Amino acid sequence: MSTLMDIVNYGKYAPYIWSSYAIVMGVIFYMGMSSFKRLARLQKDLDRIKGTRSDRSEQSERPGRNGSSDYSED
Amino acid sequence: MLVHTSLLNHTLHHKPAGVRSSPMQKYANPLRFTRLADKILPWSSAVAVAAFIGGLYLALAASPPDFQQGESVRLMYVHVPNAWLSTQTYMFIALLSAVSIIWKHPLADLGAKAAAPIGLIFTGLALITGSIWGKPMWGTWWVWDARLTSVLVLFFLYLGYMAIWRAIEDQQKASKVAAILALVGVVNIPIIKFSVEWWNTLHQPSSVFRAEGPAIDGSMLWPLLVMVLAFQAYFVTVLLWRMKAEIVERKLLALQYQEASE
Repeated sequence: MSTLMDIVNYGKYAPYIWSSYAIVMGVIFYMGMSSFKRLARLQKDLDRIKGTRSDRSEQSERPGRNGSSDYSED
Repeated sequence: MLVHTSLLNHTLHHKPAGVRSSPMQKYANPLRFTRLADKILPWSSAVAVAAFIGGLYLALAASPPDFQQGESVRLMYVHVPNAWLSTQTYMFIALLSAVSIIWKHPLADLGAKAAAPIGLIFTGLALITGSIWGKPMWGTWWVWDARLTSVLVLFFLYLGYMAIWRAIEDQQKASKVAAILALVGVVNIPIIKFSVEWWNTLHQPSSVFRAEGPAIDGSMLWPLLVMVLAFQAYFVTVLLWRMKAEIVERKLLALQYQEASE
């Protein structure tokens, strides 16, 4: 019965085969991860900016905190 | 960087009730596109992972060695999908460029821009794996034959396309110039495809897409098709991630621009 080592023993072609597969899998894994991470980072930045803007608009609408209503209450 | 405000306008645009839109116009809305992408992404990523696991097992363990090339035929399972995707991605970019120029579809130039780095990587990998395969088979890493040279030209076309997007500050102008380059460069695609028939090359002729049917035995064709499926699903997944990132980036720029002008 052949073992896994026998199955993947490619003789003189082994360096060519393993180096090709390592390069291809490494590069596509890196590209996939970097694309996913970029999307996650940008989404986080967008959520943060949107959060800041909604906080600001909430504060400006609330009486007694910001804007002219501050002064009219006093 | 100048902001592509038309995209943001599309996200805010509401169609009057009762007006029917074509499917192309329907997905011109980035919000609708993002929702569609979110539905596709779990499936495409699952197919990519499953097909890669199955494909690698078939390619490295289950498929037999070739009677002429021996074990080196296993290089085909990574070289061919990359080579096919290199030209397929370029045709996709050219098609989107035409749509962008003719119909001014706001997602077309964004899709083309997002696809370019993926196409560049596939072309680079096709050249590298081809070179590694060439050494034991032809006795050389590189030869200036028609197929290899035309694929190298494709690699430079991708670089040029990406350089335009980076070099021109006005994104709408960059989109137009890049689209023209993509459309001019599409002439290279039939040259790549038919180079092995038109000229005497070291590269073997097509053995899958032939009028007489595939010349490869089923024991090698199936592992190849599974690997092709894996790479195609991977392409869809990464393209959708990159397109979503482009949409979010343009929204961010538009918001920053809005804040600065307030």
